[in-house]
Amino acid sequence: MAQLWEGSPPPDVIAAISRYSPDLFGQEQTIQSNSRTAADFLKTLEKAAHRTIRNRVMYAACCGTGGFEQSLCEYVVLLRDAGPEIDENFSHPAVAQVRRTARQVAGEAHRLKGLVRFRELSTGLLWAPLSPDHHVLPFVAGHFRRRMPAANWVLHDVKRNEAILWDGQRLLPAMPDESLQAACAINNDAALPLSPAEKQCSEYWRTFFKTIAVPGRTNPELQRSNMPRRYWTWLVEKQ
Amino acid sequence: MLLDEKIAILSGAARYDVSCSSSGSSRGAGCAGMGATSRAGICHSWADDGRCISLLKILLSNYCIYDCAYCINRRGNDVPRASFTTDEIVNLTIDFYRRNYIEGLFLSSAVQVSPDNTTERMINVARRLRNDEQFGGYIHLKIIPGTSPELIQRAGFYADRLSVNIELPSEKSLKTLAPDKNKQAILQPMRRIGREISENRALRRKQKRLPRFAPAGQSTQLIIGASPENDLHILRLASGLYERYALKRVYYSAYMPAVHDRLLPELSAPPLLREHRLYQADWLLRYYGFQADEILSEDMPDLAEAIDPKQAWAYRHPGFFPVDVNRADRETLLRVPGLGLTSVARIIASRRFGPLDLKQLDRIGVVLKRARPFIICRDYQPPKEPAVPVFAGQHKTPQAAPPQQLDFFDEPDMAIQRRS
Repeated sequence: MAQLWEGSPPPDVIAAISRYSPDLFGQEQTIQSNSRTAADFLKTLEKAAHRTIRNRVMYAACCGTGGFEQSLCEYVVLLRDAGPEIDENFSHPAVAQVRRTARQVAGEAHRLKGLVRFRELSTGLLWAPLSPDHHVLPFVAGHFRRRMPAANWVLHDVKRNEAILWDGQRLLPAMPDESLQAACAINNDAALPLSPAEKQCSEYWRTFFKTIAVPGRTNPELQRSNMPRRYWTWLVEKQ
Repeated sequence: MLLDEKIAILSGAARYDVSCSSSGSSRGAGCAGMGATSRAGICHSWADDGRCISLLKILLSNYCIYDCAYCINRRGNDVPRASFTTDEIVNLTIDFYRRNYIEGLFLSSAVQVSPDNTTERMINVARRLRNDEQFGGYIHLKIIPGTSPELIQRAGFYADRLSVNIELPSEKSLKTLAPDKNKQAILQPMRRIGREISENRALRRKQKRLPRFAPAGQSTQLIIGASPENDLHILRLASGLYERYALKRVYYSAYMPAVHDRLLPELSAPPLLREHRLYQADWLLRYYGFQADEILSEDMPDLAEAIDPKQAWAYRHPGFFPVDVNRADRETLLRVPGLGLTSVARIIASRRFGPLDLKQLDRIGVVLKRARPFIICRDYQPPKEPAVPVFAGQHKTPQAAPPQQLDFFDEPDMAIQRRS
């Protein structure tokens, strides 16, 4: 995208390598991700456009399902040529698509701020396993850094085997060890290295969860639409 | 008694309180403390009844000296009773919070010795959380009718939100069903909270460091269907509360026959649809610029079950439509069924780039299925004679009835209050 901004012609097809199927007659170019270039580009974008537009590009680029790349490129070219006002044109197909993608990613990040469950391990570390659709770990980590600055915790993306650790001072990339990975595959309280207090506390939570529902108003459909099943794997109250 | 049993009893007793919002406040965690609040609020789970769980909603105790007919905790009801100690609630809140189960605490209680005695014990929990545990999460405290002003003032400096439940929509019903409560005992604390909030806001403009009083405001709750009041009465009451007491929210709770009493109606099921329509109408009052007397009238004092109140209004006012989405102002657009706050804002932003057509409206997020009969856009005009569904009793011209006051607000003391 930095190249686009500098004036490279927009590509005909762009996709993540894992999803790319080569075209017989096309010219190919592989783009390596580079955090320096990316950070510079975001800064440029913030200066040229606006903070919310920078965030929009950032969220959209963290989409985990693919298919958004083309419109993201188009959107960036539009921003460059037509100015930041174009972001207000909800009726433009590329703008609408980028906004939708960004909203999906931001939406999942927001949802996970609520649905993340920290488990206290026998070492005292608060460990939260999650399997999000999109690359939302950094956004969620920022939220908990503000909220629980005095604790030590780790967010573990089990699907992508990535983790971010907060050591009380900094956010650091971390590598979950293999035994924990294996325990995640089984995923029950007996297999996980939980502290005794953790087992007690999760029981209390399950009790609360059960009794807080009003018996005459059972509504599983509404429950699922707010809290889709794919998030239940790591929800203490749903185990 | 085991803590697990207490949790079951006292969350079971608290579940009929509807409010679960954790929004409207922003508080940061200090370096030693834990917890912050988020302005938009965060839901942490959804219970089996589909309602969001954001706060640890719990009663301090369900031993009650009152005997309100509709309440599961009434004195005469044979249910298991329990009380938490301060330590138990404080620890449970912290333990749940650090695991990210909850956004904070919603603490209410049955009336044990007296309103003041009970409130004092609730304040004690909040004080412990804020001062000893440096807890920065959300706290919602329920204020019991009849609580003294001094205690209300203390409560507001620990809590993000305070609420006093009106419970029943009129004084008469209150007298019949909740003989220990009375209108004055409910309105006085509400008034007090309202005044404290606005005074605190004014003072804080001069002194930024002053502690905030109930930054997320106050709310209340009404039971729907336990007493005979119609929807018009309820909406007038709600809009009075929004306008006069600056309430953040009025919650409606479909009456659940949790106890049997000859004074209460025998319902086969709770009036959930009515509750839903009331919430829709409430949204129209707060965000869409509608007045209670536009939504309903003396001739038609109840909300239709078959369609939402905004559609009902549209069908009763064919002369208002069709609305040209490329020209109409915000207030007009907000009256169109199928257009919400978001899509109206987007329409206004997008049409600067050129007139919008149906496809673009669809992309913007307009619910075309509902909006189509009421709009004009670049490539669309509704048929001349739109097929207007006829709903019984809705096409009478409303008679110019003299504006009626609610009986909740009717007393002379309220008139004095309004002048001051």
